[in-house]
Order: sequence, then structure tokens, then C-alpha cells
Amino acid sequence: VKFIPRSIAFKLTVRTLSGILLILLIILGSYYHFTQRILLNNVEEKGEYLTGNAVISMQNTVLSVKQAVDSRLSLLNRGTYNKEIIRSLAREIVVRNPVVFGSTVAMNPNGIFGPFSPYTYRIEKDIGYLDLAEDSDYNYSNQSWFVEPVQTGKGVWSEPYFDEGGGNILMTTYSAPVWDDDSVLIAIVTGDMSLQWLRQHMADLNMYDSGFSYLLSESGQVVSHPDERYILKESIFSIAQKQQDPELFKAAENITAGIQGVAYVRSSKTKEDYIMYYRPIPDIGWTICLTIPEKEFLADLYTMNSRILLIILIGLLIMILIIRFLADRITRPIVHLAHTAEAVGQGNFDVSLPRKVTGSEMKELYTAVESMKNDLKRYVHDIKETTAEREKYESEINVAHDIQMSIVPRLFPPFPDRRDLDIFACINTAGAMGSDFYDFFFIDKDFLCIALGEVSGKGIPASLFMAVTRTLLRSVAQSQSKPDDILQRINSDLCEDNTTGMSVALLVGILNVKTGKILYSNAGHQPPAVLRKSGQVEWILNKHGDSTGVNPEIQYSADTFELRPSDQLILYGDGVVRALNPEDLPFGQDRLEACIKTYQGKNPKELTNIILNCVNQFTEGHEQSDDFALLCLSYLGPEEKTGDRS
Amino acid sequence: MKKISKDIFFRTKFFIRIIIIISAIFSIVVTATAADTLRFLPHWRPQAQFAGFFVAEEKGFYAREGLNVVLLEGGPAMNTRDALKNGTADIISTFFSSALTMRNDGVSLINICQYSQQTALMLFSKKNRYEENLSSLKNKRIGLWHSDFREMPLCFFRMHDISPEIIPVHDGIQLFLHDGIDGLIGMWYNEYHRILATGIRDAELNRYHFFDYDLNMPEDGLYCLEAYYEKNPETVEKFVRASLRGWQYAFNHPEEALEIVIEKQTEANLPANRAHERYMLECMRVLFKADQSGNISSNISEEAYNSACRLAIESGIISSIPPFEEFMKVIRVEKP
Repeated sequence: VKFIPRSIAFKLTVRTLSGILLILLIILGSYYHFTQRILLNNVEEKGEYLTGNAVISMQNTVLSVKQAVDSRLSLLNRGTYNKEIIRSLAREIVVRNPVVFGSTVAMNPNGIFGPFSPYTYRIEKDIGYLDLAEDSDYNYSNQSWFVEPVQTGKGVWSEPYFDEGGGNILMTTYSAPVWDDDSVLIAIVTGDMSLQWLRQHMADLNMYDSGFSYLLSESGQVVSHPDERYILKESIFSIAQKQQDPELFKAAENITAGIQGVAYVRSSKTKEDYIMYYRPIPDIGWTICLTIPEKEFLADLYTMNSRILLIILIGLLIMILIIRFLADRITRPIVHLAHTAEAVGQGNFDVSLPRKVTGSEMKELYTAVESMKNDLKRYVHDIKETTAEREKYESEINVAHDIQMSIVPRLFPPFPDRRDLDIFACINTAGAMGSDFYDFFFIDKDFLCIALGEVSGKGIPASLFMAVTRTLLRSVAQSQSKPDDILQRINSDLCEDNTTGMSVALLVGILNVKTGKILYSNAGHQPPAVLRKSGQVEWILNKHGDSTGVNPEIQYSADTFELRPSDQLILYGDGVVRALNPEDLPFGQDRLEACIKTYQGKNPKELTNIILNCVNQFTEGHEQSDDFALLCLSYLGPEEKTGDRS
Repeated sequence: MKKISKDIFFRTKFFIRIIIIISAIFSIVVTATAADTLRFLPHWRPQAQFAGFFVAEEKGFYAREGLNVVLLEGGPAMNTRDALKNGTADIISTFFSSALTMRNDGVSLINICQYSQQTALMLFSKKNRYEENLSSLKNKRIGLWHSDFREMPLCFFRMHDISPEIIPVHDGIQLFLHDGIDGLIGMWYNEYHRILATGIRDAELNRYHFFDYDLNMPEDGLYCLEAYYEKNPETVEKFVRASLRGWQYAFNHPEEALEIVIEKQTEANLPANRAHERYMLECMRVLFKADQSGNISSNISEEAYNSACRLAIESGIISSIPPFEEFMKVIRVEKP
């Protein structure tokens, strides 16, 4: 079986495979969707776990600083201390806590010690000391680390900042107030926490290759980021503004409000989707953000999907082969049948159909074809017989036609020796047999009988009736010399035992060739036309009774008209003037007159052909139901010599 | 031989003379060039508020004027009044009100360029804590920077009878965010936007622009001591011209200007946020009333000067109005 478009095999393959492919894709899509959700859940859990861990670990560090500071507050509250003790308090905070970079106990400038703020800090591996109160420009009680805890009444973490003196280290300061029993400020104790340790901590916090994490301060400032250019230069809001991502804006608001959550964001730069987990670190109010590129955690899913797609493709290829094989098996008997049908169509009815056929539909088809073949065989046999009979009949008809035609004069010119007249005539038959006829013969040496008849009806009966009429005419003309008598006699003979109801319109004229006078009698025939030498057409309109063969009582009369030398007489049947064109308009006498009047001087044969051409041109090949006879006679005037009786 | 030697001798002497003359001329030029070194102290830390000056330096506009400008780093630690008095800075920028106060206090400074035409000072409180009317902040704790530029806010408090407890704030909004204070005085181009950048919505704030409360005064301007100007009028003129050109360039090339500002902030170890600086630069464009092509006016009319001074007297910032011609040294600069 060839795999051509529109073949059953092709259609079967395409339709079956489309259905299968659709189902497979739906399965694959659902699988992708659900697996993605499972993966997303897993990643969410993992992200939550990781950020949770990071939060705990950072909180520990933050808390250690906070506790180091807070524990000193109670010491100050309890009473007796001097400047040295105060100084050592600050020093202890630094020495005992490796995370603490510097610390001060800033006494209330209005308290008993006056402005006093011993500050201990790390210089490389050493410990440095200075009294912040000694720098008059600095005015520590105006600094935000002093003012904020005083105003808020609690320990506060500063926004991260770069410590200018301490070697450009990112720091944040925790400062807490201590009050006496009368709610008068004793001091502000601070601990500077270097954020250097964050770097490694945050670097460890990531998932997948390009996942990363960053830390945001309470106000959303970037404190730690793999890209150093972000640190303290961008905030989550400026990033959201850059990305123009509403989802990120929402996340930013949550972050500054200290709410944890997940955001699905899209990078405007890389056009990649990310999942972002954010989780606030209690106490300090900062937020850890973990960003995971969706592309990466879905990478396995993508790989799996492409493999499944490959398997589907291979499966489809195998399906194509199987379906082709099956289609081949199904269509092979059909093709065989087609070949059989072709052979039958070419007339080979003996071609055999395969005996072994499986499947009820194919059996049905085979039975139908078998029966069709047998029917066809019988039918063709019948047709052959019918055709033979028909051919026989047609050949007989042809013979009959020849015989019929042979009874009218067919040799032209009929009187080659005569100089006084010339005649040409023809019968134009519509069917195999004609029912019109013409005739002419000399009754004696000076009188020529001319006749044109037209039998009502068609076919063999009409043609037989025509033969009878013509035979009657010849025999009656032997005894009668006047046309009305001839008609009278023919009419009474035809009427006798005429059970067919057929009639004959008959025109009989006797031409005196010496004088050119014609005595004629017209029994229901078309009026003859005379084309005068002058070119004028004269219609001989007189009628002398109805058609012959119907009413034996009719009395026919006769009239005379004269042909002058070079005049032409035209006798024609009904079929000429009733010839129809494609618009069903008849040819009519007017067209006939117009046709002939310009052709004066032509001989009868030419004139006949001219008339036939005119009719043919008019009918434009439209099939005609009427046959007609046409006779043209040229009268050339009396001749000196005597002609023979024909 | 001798003759030849003599000729050479004379010629040598001639050359030496020429060299001496050229050296003398050169040294004069060099001296003149050295005299064109000036130290400029902006009144706050590097930020887009001073973009024009940074741009003028970076794009070489000062150098093109033959100036060697040393841009000092401003900030709370650098008091402009002191810097001018003790000669740390030759030219400073400061608020108009602060300059009037200094003049009133006997510092003989003069205004050489008044480029900011409108005050950007404002007061805010949180809507969830205080009603919208200003009286809701009466006797409340209001954060105000403790060094310079306190005249206008103090005047505002007096004018509207707020009499707050003034809490010194440094350069922060933390105290305000943590509700450590009830209101905060800030700049429209700075604190206001920084508060918004922490996720607080505009709708959550009560905003009181001084401008809307009949307290409007020109703001940032350039000043130097009268004596300095008399000694170096051309230098001052060149500085003003190049600075205006810097501003024009900054307004016409904002992204490039921001790059320069952020570079400055990074050098100074300051947090630098491009979105914030961009906003600030756009505010400057409004406050300076810059035209389409970035041109800004370098002075104010005598009328505007007098009305601002009258306001200063009424609000007790100054006791007498310094004569316009003396204080406002109108430096005509052709359009940069």
C-alpha cells in the first residue's frame, strides 16, 4: 500500500495518531503540572527550612551581642560603680564576645559622672580605648545610637553602616538604655556588631547553582548580597522599582512589616522567574531573603519531560509502522477488489474473486461485488442481444429509407437535354425515414406534372403512406390531366380504408412548358413561391381544399398562374417555414422571401442549396423535428426543339 | 679664538637673560594659577543635593575655568559656619536662613549664588498616631537635626505654636519609624523619600510642607567671606559659573550625574541608593526652578530678598536686615 495522502492508510494513521498524541500531551501536561507543584512544595519546604536555620543561627549571633549588652545594664542599675568599673564593663563586652567589634557605656551627660563614654574597640588583634566625651565635636548624646534608645525606651539596632574608623567594616550597633528607679537615664550601653561574619554565612545559604541569598535591614536596605554593589546602595524597594514587579513590591512591604512569606518574581534583566523566600530575624528586625531560580529547580522536570517527549516520539513512530501494517492488511482486499472491478469494467467477467475473506464487512463487500459482477454479466449479455436486434432493425430501416428515396427522382439534372427548364429537389429528413416527398414527370411532351406532398405524422407508417400517395399520384396522372381531378381521385383512394387517420397535404401542378402556364391545385399545402426574373417574389396563395386522405367529400378546384422565361418556382414543405432556431422562433415565409429574392439567376441546384443554407444558418444546428421536401424549377422559356417524354 | 669666545659669552649671557625672563613670567603664571585653588564645603554629606558641584568637578568644568577646587566632604561633623570662620573652606553652601543667622551673628559672609528658590523643609507624622491638623503635634516630641539649619524649623514651631520637645536626630529616620518620636522635620527630597522607601505609604503620613504654611524662603545658596570675595572676585565668579554649568549638565544627563554622585557616596562609605538619588535630583530640578535646558537662576530679586528677610525678622531668626547690595553679591554669569 502506498502511503499517499487521502488514502485510507494515511487517514487512519493521521486520525489515530492525532488522537493518541492529544491524549499523550494531556497526560504529559498534567504530569508536568502536578510534578511542578510537588517540586515547588519541596523547594518551598527546603527554602523554609534553610531560611529558618539561617534565621536561628543569625539570631544566636544577634542575641549574643544583645545579651552581652543587656547583661551589663543590670550591673549599672544595681548601684555602686566608678569610672574604672564603667570602663571595664565596655571592655568586657568586647573581649568576651568575638562578634562584638566595639562597645561603649555612654553615661547620661547630666548624671553624676557628667559626659563620660568609654569606648573599647578592636584594632586588628588588639583592643583600643577612647572616651567619646573627649571629642567635643562628636557630642555623643546627640548621636542616634544614644537618642534612639532614650526616646524609644528600649534597646534598638541601628541601620547598618560602614565604620569609617574601623577599616571600612560593615557594622550595626545595638544600643540599650538603663534607667534608675526614678526613671532617670543612667547610661546607654552599646555593642557594635561587625557584619563581616555575615558574608560567609549568607554565602552558605543558597540552593542550586545560581540561587543566592541576601539580607535586608529593617528598613529594607541591602545589608548583604553576593553582588557587593548592592550593599547599602539598594533597598528592596529600589530593586522592586527597577524590576517593576508588583509582586516584589508586595514582598517589600511584607519585609519591612516583618512578615515572612514567598514571592514569585521575575527578573527584568534576565527574564527569569525566581522564587523568593523571606523570613525576618526576630530581635534585630532584619530579613533573610533566599532566591531560587525556577529554571534550576525545575531542571530535572525539564529533563524528564524532554525524555518523555522523546519516548512519545519513538512510540509514535512505532505506532505509524503498526498502523501502516494494519491499514495494509485491511485495504489489501479492497485494492484487490478495485482491480477486480477494473477488470470487470473492461469486460472481463470471468475474473475470480478471492474465496478466503475474513471480517463481516469485507464479506458483505465481496458478496455485493460478486453479485454486481453477475448482474453486470447478465446485463451486458442482454444489451448485446438488444443491440444486435436494434442493429438489424436499423439496417432494415436504412434499406427502407433507400427504397423510399429511390421512388422519387434523384438524378439531376433530370432532363439534361431540355433547354426550357431545369429542376432540382431534395428531401431533408429529420428521422431515419421521411414522410415528405416531391415528384415531377412529363404527362406528355408539353405538360410536366410537379407535386410536393407532406404526410401528417412521422416514422415508418408515415413513410409508407407517402409511398402509397406517390404511387397513387403516378398512376392517377396517367388517366387524369387536370390537377384538381388528380387530387380528387387521390383523395377518394386514400380515404378508402384509411384507418390510420393520416392525411397528405399535396400540391399538384401541371406546367405547360410551351406557355409557361401552370394549372395547379393545392390541398392544404404551403403556398409555392415564384421568383420572378425581376427579383420579385410572388406567393401563390390560393388553396383548393384540405389535405387529402381524410374527407372523401372534398371537391378540389384548380387555378392557373404563369411562369415567364427565367422565372423560378419554389415548392417547399412545412418543415422549411416551421424550422425553429434555438429561441424556438420559426423560419417563416418572410425570411424565405428575403433569402431567395437576392439570388435571381441562380440555377435550381444553387437556389436549393441557398435556401438550405439560409435555414441551417437560422436554426444554428438546433435539432429539427420536421422533415421537408424542397423543389426548385427554373423556367427558361419554350424551346424550339421538341424534347423527349421523360 | 678670543673673539669667538667673547661672542659665545655674550650669547650665553643673552640666553640666560631670556631664560630668567621666561622663568619669571612662568612663575607669575604659576602663582596666579596657585591662587585659583579654592576649597568648597557643601553643607551636607555627598548626595544628589550637590550633584551639580560633583559633576562640575568630574567633568572638568572647574579645571576649564582654571580653578583647582577641593571638594571637602560635608556632613554633621563639618560645621559650615566654623569651616568658613576658621578658614577650612573658602566657599560653602548653606541654607539662606542659616546664612542670615551667621551674618546676624557677625560672620561677614556674603551670598554669591542663590540657586535654590524654594524651601523643601517639611514636618511629618504618622496618620495612625496623629490627626491631620498641625495642632495634634503640640507639645509632642519632634525630631530635628541638632547642628545647623534649625532656624526655619524653629520658626515653624513658633509660628504654629507647636512648642515641641525637640529630640536631636542625626541623619536618620529610624527613630521616627520606631515611633521613638512623634514627628520628624525633614527635607522633601531626602527624609520624605527615605521614609517611603521603607514601605510606608504616602497616604499613611501627615505632611506639612513649610511652603504651604506661609514659611517659604530660598534655600541652598553659595557663600564666602566678604574678605575672600574682595581678594578673589574672579575666582568666585569662575566658581559660580562652572558650578551652574555643572548643574545644567546634571539636569541634562541625570544618569551620568547619578553615577558621579554614587561614586562620591561610595568613596565616603555612605549608603548609596540610586533610586533615592534619582528622586533627589528630580526634586532639585523643581526646587531650583530649572528651565527646559537645565538652566537655573543664580540669584533672587531684591523684592524676594526683602520679603524673605522680613519673614526672618518676624520669626526672630535675625534682628536686622542686611542691606541687599552688601549681602547679595549678584554675580552676573552668562548663561552656561
